[in-house]
Amino acid sequence: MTLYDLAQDRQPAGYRRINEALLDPAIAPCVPSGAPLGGTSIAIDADLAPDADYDLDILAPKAGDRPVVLATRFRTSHYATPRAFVDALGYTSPDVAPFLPDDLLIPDGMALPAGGFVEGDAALDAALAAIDAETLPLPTRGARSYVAWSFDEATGWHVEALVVDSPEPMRRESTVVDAAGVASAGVRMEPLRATIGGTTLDPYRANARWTRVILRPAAPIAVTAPESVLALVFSTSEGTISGSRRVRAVPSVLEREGL
Amino acid sequence: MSLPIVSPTLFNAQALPAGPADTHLQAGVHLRVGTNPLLGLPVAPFVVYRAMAKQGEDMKLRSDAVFVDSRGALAAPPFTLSPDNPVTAYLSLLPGDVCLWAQVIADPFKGTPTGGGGRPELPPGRPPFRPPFRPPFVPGAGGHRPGVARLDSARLDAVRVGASRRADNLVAGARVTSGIVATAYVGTSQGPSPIARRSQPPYSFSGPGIVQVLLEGTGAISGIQWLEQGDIPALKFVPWTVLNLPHEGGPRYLSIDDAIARSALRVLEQAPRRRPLQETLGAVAPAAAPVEGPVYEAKRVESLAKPISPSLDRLVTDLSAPALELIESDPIFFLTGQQRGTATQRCIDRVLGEQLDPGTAGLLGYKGLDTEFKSPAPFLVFYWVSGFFRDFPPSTTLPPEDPVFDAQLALLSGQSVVGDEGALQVAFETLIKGLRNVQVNAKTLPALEKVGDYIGLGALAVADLSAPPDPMLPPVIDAATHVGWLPVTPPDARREVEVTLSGVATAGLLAGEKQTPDGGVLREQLNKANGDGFHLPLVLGVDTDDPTLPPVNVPGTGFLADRRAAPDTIRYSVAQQDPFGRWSEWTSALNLPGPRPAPPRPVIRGTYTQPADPAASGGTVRVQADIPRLDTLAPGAFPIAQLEITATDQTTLAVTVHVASTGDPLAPDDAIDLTFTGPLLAPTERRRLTLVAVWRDTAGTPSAESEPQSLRLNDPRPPAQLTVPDALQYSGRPDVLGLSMVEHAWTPVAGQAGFGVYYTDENRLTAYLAGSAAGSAGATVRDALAATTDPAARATLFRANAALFPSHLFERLRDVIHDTGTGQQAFRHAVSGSLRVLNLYRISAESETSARVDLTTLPLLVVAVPNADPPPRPVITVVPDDMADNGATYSATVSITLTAGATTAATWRLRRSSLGATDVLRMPIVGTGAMGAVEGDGRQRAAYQDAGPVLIASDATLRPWVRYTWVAETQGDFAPGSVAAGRPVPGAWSASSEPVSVMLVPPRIPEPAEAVTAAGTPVGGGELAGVELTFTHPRVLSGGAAGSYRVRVMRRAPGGSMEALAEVETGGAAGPYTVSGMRPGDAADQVASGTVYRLVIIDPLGRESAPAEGTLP
Repeated sequence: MTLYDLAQDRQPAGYRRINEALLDPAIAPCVPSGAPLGGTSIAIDADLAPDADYDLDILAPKAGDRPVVLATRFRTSHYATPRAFVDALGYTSPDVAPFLPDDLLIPDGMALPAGGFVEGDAALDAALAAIDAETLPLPTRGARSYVAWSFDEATGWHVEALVVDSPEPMRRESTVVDAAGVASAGVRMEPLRATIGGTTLDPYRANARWTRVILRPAAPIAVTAPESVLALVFSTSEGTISGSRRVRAVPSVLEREGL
Repeated sequence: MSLPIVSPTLFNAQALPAGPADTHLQAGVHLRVGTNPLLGLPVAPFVVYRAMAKQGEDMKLRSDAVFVDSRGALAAPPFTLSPDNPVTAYLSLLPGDVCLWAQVIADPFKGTPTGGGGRPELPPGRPPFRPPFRPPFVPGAGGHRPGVARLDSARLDAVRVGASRRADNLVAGARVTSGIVATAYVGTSQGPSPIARRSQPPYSFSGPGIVQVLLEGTGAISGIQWLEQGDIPALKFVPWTVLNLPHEGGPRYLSIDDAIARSALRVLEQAPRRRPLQETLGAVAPAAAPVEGPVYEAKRVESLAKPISPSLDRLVTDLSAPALELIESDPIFFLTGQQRGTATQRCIDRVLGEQLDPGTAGLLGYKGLDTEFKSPAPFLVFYWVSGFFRDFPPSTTLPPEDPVFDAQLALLSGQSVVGDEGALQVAFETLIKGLRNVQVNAKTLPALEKVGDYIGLGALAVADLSAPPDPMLPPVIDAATHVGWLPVTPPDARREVEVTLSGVATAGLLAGEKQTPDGGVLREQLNKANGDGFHLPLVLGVDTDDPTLPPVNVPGTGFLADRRAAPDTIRYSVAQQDPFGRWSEWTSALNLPGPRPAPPRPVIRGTYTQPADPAASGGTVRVQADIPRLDTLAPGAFPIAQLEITATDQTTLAVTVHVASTGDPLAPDDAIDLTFTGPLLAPTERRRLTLVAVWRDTAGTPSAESEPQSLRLNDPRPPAQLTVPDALQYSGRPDVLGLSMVEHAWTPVAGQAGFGVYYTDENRLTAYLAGSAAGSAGATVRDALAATTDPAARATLFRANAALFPSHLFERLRDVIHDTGTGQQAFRHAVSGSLRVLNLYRISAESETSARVDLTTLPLLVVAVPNADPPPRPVITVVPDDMADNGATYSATVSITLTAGATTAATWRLRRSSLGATDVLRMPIVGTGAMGAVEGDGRQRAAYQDAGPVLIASDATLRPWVRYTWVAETQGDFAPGSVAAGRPVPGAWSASSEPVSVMLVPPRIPEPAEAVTAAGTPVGGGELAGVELTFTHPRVLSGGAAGSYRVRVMRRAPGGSMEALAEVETGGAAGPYTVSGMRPGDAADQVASGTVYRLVIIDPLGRESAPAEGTLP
């Protein structure tokens, strides 16, 4: 267990304002010892089991008194690292995962609503309802990815979106301890983009917990090669990571069923 | 025999011949005696001897002088004096030389010289003339610090004290364009100072220590001749008179008989013919001053001398301290009458200061009149004045004396040393021996102080009867300046005005008066009146002790201070008088009204009170300010009349001015308490009102603005509240983590600065209603809620009775509101995805001041979680449809059946795959349809004839020999109320049915092969090898999962019997199909031409078709 100064962005607003003022050399050049207010962050190295619930109690024992400073409960991820998580989503690296994504066929006359990224369950539900996919089942047995296809008599099949379902949040905030031991609030990982060939799909909708994310290209993608690579890129506190899987030029069900 | 003549700075005399034309002086020669104040009073009367001589006769005159023009060039006589280039004749004086008389030999050119009666006119743009340099001059009274010509009144020559000012202006700076004007200068500690001027020949002057003569105008200058006092001509000096103190004597003064009477007689003899100008009012010209006789002067002098009589007596009789250290003290009082302290002054200063007035000078024996020479005559009259003093030992209490003074005493010849009191008596009696009726007062003689430091000094004065000086010029008022206001409580106002003067004669006195306002009737003397109504002469004031002021280095320059000046415009008039009593005309200047101080900066206190009815009027702005009392106002200030408040609405920038009176300005109220109505605010509006106030006095002068005070005006009304959907809302579908997000967004409107989201759930509200009394509204709602399970209906009940639920049933949610970035606000609240009860929210719009409505007035936003159970898992059966022949369309009828559960199925969805049902989501959807209603057996049914099309491929068909798997799912109806709310929430899909697999089989035996042809390679002899059979078939011979189609091949050679060759698999794709016509395993097999081949098609089930034949050509 290692103790660190509490990162400023984790401090109460009042403490933060005072510290910022006192750390400003133009205002208070006579406080060489740094911020006088704040707190402590504790970094604990421990072997945790995946998918396990833990109680974390922070006590401040003094003689016989053991007051509880903080008691919290958390559940560990099923995955030890972002890499493992991305792999479990079905996107591997460096080898391309051999499994094709599922298909989500957009009925004729339906389309995703226009607009940029919106985080929220209502917006997500509305977007799925717009393509008749509101009842898309939850990924209770594992991550799933759906490629949403549209069909045009003249131009054939087009990729309209990628729906990634995860049993765990794909965007995670956490306190990140840097190499110098300074803890600060940050984003542990979050979906950054997806690509098919050289075309980018940006986050378009995500539910509040980021267990379901829709990524969408600026324009529907016509996959020209019989087979291409679908990559999913995450931003993590250690840099970007990505994984990929195969994607065909048409919905895989067509080939699978001989339709 | 007279005493030795000494330096004029120790002891001097000056004579002035006055003719009958003078307005004030008695005709005759006026003699003025001056002593260094460090000598103190004389210890015996001055004894004056007199002699007469014609000009130039019997005298040793000197002519050595240096003439320097205004440009610095030497001018050697004879030369012509031009108006634009004045010339100064510097007498060539050796150390110790003293010039008593000088005459410039000059012949003025035509025209009347200027300067006889008025001041020469200054040419425009021409700087005042200054002598190019000053000859070496050893100040007689010394004492000023090197480089700083600062006066020290205690060390000045008594004659010149207060008068050695800026003398240049008396004569210089003006161009004399006709005739010659000559001005003589004597040396003073401040530099050469003019002593007399002549504008007509002869240009003769007499005075103690003439150093230079300034010549201006036009004429021929031949030279100068002058008399040094050491070159006293061999004249017969005879005793003339004694000049005594008005005291009968004592230890420190050897007096004479009838001393007081003699003094009084001198006053009478020298009495001016007209009233001194300080005793007139109205700027009366000297010639118009009232004629007065000696009696008036005697009274005036007696009145002036009365205050110094004790000091004089002490100086003569008091041996308690050295004469120069005797002190008189006067009390100083506050205005309240309480004594503040005492003011001390040396007795010697009092007495010597009083002798500045010509009248008192006559009384004290410092001025005499020789009436034997009343008319101009070509005579020089010499007066040899002898005086006895003490060479005081160094004082133990006073500062060190002037070293120059000490040096000059040390340079005295032995003839000046008298010795003890006996020697003094002998020397004095010797001097007065020739005077009739002058006897030593024997009564006081024995008490004479017994010291051995008595000295005798002589001074010589010359009166040139042919050349009386020109009349006095008035002084110049350089400025009349408002200095400041004196501490007088308003509305009274008194100020100090300083009248700056130049051109004041050496040892001159001043008469001053003022007219308030200018042109008004009120005239007052500046000269202070004593108790008898006589006015004390004014002496030019100089700043001597204030180091912040520039040093006084110009003789004749100074000021008069009027500390009783009224605030109005004042006209000041000043005339001057020389030490002999001659008066100048008046000069005057205007002083504008003093600038009144502005009122003090107000300090205001502002408050704002919200209105009772904010829709009808603005709130009340109250401004309070303490009114300064009159005695706290700045001296000279006008009383305060009103407070002006400028209110600036910082939103509209509208400005309103509000005025509050102080009441009677001369008896103002204690405080201003002003209220006015503020601006009418819109609901929830906030504004700032800036208040700035100024006092305004009775003259309308504003004060500096007060510190701005900013008032926050808050409308107390809450903002318009949100309208929430009047229908049951649904949260987001529960996510994989089991949470469902309640989200609601709205667009804020003006006035809605913040929002509060309050939450409760259905259980809490129903629990609250449980206690409702029977028959109450709460009970009615409670019963109605219990009667329905439809969430939409329950939501309607809650919404319709929102007022029943008090605020305490709700909790305010923290950190749930966020900005959507699209101009909307939204809240997000996570609830359990399995929550089956309703969630109820109230959203309160709040103003910036957190004003909000009563929560019970807010509508309820009712939200349910879309987590209704799906319908039960259906069961399906698949029955292939009957077919007329193998060419008909394959289809199957799928029957979907479920036993109705808590959720009725509304929709079925059928999936079919040729790959099984391992992953239902990957099975193509065949179609959806409506489930039938619940039938009597409690089941819902639906059927679908699947002919092959799926959603992703509408032209797909069912193929025989393929094992298809069907599954079905059923979906509940839309969430209750969601359709009516405009956002249909589809029901959940059930788990898929158990899969059902069916392989479709052609209903009939296979059709026979068609178009059977045989072809081979001739090998000779009518034989062929490598025979192949080709045929077509109306179906695709693909057996799928059931196996393959086979072809049985038989042949019959010409004349032979039918031979079965083989059964081989064929098909898999659309024909034509080809099979071998050779006997398997027989490489030597050859087929004769004309052989007939027979083909039988066998399907995977073993069903054989009718044979079809073809002949090998």
